[in-house]
Amino acid sequence: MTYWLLRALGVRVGAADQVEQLQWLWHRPAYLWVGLFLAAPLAYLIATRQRKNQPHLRPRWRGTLVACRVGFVLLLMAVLAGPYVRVREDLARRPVVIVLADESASMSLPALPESDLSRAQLLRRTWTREKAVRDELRRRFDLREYRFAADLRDSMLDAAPPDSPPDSPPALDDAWAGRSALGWSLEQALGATAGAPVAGVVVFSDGQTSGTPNAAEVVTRAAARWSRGLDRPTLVTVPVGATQPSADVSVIEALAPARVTVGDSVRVLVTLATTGFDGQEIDVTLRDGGSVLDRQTLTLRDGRRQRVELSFTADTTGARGLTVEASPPPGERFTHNNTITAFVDATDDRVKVLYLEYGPRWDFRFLDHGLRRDRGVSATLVMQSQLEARDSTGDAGGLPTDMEGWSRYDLVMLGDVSPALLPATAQEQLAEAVSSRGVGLLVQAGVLHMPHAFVGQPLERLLPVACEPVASSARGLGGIEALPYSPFVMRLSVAGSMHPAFQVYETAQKNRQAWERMPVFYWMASARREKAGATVLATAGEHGPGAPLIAEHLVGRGRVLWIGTDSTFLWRRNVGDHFFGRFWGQAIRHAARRDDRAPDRSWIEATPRQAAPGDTLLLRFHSVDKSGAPDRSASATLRVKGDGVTASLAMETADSAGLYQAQWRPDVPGLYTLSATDAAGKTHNTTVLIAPPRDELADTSVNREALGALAELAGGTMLELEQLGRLSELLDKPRPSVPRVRDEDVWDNWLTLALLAGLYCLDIGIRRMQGAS
Amino acid sequence: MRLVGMIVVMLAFSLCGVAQAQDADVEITAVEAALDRGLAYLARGQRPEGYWPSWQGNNHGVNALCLLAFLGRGHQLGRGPYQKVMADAVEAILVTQDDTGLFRSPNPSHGPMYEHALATLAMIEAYGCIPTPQFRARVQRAVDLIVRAQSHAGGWRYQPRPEEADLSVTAVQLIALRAAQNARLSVPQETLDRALAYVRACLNPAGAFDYQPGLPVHQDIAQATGWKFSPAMAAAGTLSLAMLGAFDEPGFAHGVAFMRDVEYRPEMLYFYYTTHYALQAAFQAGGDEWARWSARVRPLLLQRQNEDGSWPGYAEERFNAGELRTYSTAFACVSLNVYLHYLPAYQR
Repeated sequence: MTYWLLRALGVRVGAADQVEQLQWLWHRPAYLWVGLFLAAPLAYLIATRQRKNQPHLRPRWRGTLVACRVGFVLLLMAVLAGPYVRVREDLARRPVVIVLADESASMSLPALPESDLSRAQLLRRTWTREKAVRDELRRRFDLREYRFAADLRDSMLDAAPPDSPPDSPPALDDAWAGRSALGWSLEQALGATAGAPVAGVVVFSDGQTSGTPNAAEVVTRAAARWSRGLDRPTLVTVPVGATQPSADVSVIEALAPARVTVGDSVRVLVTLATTGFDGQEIDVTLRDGGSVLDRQTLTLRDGRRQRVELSFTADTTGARGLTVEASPPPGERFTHNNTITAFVDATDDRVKVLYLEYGPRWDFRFLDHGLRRDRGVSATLVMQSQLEARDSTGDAGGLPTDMEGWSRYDLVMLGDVSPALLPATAQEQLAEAVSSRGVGLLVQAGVLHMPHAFVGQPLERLLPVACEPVASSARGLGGIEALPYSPFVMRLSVAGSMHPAFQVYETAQKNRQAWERMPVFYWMASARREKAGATVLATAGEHGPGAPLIAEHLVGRGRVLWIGTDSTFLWRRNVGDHFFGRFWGQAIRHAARRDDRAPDRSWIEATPRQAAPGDTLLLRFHSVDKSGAPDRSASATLRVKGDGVTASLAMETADSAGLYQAQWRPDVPGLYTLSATDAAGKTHNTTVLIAPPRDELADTSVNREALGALAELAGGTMLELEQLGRLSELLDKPRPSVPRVRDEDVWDNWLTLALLAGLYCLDIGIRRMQGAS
Repeated sequence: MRLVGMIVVMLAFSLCGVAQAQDADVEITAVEAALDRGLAYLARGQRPEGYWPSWQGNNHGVNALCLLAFLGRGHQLGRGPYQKVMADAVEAILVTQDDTGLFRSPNPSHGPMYEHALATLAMIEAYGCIPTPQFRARVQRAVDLIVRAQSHAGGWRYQPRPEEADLSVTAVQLIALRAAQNARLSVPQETLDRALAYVRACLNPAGAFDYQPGLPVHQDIAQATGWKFSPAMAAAGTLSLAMLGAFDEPGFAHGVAFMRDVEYRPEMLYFYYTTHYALQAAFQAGGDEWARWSARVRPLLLQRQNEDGSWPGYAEERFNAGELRTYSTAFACVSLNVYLHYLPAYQR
């Protein structure tokens, strides 16, 4: 009855079991009391007047008229007093259950030994078969189903794309399926709930995840939120596939320098992983097309990452995709991950480098050897401390004495040198050589002088970072020292993760992961911010973004690259020269002046040269005519040619005359030649390698350990596919409720109006019928 | 406990499934963890004067090994958690340098040259952290002494005089000279040429290296072990050739081949000496040799580390300072440092 009345009064109430308490209250109770107090004398006054003015009416009609008028006045008094009702409710909400189904390439692997059924097929069939479970979940929860691989996609799993043929190969060529970003997908799915209560998350996967952020990080962050009072959803992970690891040999990666010089002995470091073939011997072969460049025999060891070093001599110029192939041992069923492609571009360029260093610090000692081994670099090394020991700084050790002298080099590398070796005049000459002649400048910080001894001098103006004039420590050493328990961690920026200096792998994500795993630093230069227009490639800080560690910018025609640490030797950890040498080799070539990039030359370039399907490449083409004048056409056409692929791309004009650029997003793996014809009619081309990411199929087993750990991290559990019937029970928990208190006016409604109208009509009706005035 | 559990689980997850490239770090992470425990042990054992006690007391051989253990882990002077430990150690060695350039060990063993070479190596590497002119002058004088003390045969012996020579002392001088070259200190080419001649002379027809030309094994050791050829000398000879850049010498291939068949076990005489030299030589050889020796050494050292971070001394226990295992712990750390590839002297 109460709820009927409340609803009749226009008060919004939910189910009766949600209302905990009702209170009838008045906004202005004084008006009510005054009204009630005056009601009796008013009724007496009205009755007296009615008796006097309407003596001809029967007493019952007169009494009714009095009642109408008194009721009318009382109703007005009540409205004036502002009656309202206070509703205390406890609102229950239907919680969300998120279902994430892995649809990445690794889910196309056989679900069971000796079975043609893929993991994805097994999952779909099981999910379709368990209709009762799904119906129960849909009845009790707001069920949200998603598929995920490189990102998250909405999907009803039982209405997902039709099963692919059982013998279909893994969808490696599919840019979306090439990665499985569980962490990212989980983050997106949780974000899409928009604060709604989440009862649970169910993850169907083979546990081979390759994207960022790490799923464990996402779960940890979410768990921290949940522990701050929010209800903790149940995380249920469901492995899809065989319990036993499948016997497999996998080539994990092949690290080779991206650019080499003809005549170089090129080393390719190959990493393999094996399961189930312990003690067997295989051949690991390096091929260039059909020709074998090197081959080694490897005795397989189960459960261990094994490394093999292959080498060859680069004897011709040009880019090539070298294939590293591990011969399949007898009985290996899945061989898609036995090969990998490494991209190597051989040129006959030699970069002329002038390297000035103060003393033989560790980075120098490794670089010294590296530069001497690098046939693509012709380096002149000048060590200030040696000159000082011989007391020969007076002649500056044969350093250039004018701008022309500096311009003879393609790159000048400055270590921890002092202004005694590089006085202001020399700095001015160097600055002029950089800005007007395009000489590259690479500056590496040091504790003794660089950059704090140059603050306020011409060299400082060349740097992409703002330096502080400090010799911070009592020992007179510059820079910022990390606290022993809080060292600096290098974080690559978006620009850095695909920068030529840092490029090791085919994807930005893998590059970032690889570089951010490098050892921590305990010192960096006192450069806390970048200058306007500079690009920060890496930062240093304990957590998240910090001061610029590595940055670059253009000064006139030249490029200046800043390295704010003196400890890049730490990148030798475990692998020796492979990261250290690669960074420096690529950084030197990137920063150095390139004559083939002169304003009167045509050239074409693609960045990066190696990428994964779905990545975006930046293509630039500089076109000049026979006289060297820039092309003034509104656009240019770039031709793409690969294995069975031919296409044309329209390039738009860029910032400077004759320069055109376009973005290209290849979806099909292969070695592509990109070519364009300049205004002089000459064709220029470059090569890029599009290779599928390796992570998905590197390990063909179902990673139950990872899935179990993930569930445990969130306080959930791991279920087998056969146990899906327990899902409803696991997700069962008290429905979350939200207490709510509302005040609702109860006079402003049709009932009050009807009462008023009824009393008025009754009064008028009686008077008309009885002939009263 | 809940936090620890969460971290452990997270680590397990990150190691086993997130990005497989991270898996490759598992072994090196275990090495680094063992090293960190070892360095913490050494830091605790350092005396306020900066030295580490050993069987002789204050011996620069052990002091230098301890300092190299920190440097080889990537710790640098003037920064990081061990800056005071390292600064004190450097000071403790530098103050003992005499007018001849010798880092005179306060408590030497047979003679000062063994300790001097190790101290010179450690000082040259430390000089790379803060390469001041003063430091350069000190290490150059130490190198000059090594050059002056070379025997007529091309090798070195315990005393800083050009008289006798043996391969063991010679090997460590060559490592110091190699470090000096890397640091652009002055090392006469003639010194290196004569040293190469001496190492060649130590190569015996069996493919191993003699302690001294014509004397495969020191008599005392031959009596104690029954060895005809010493694995330690084979490793020292092979590494000496590598330090001289003489990879094409027949002796290098012979030495590597000899080391392949060595019965490697902790109970062997000069276990730590052999471990370090053989692992370094294998690293210099690269390829299969490195794969073979790295797979031998890493699991063994990781398994044998004590709970307090030290390593047992085995047959070299007498070189430790009683309960304080500075010698064996420093040598084990220096050996594990080979996996990190940080020390410039040993770059390939």
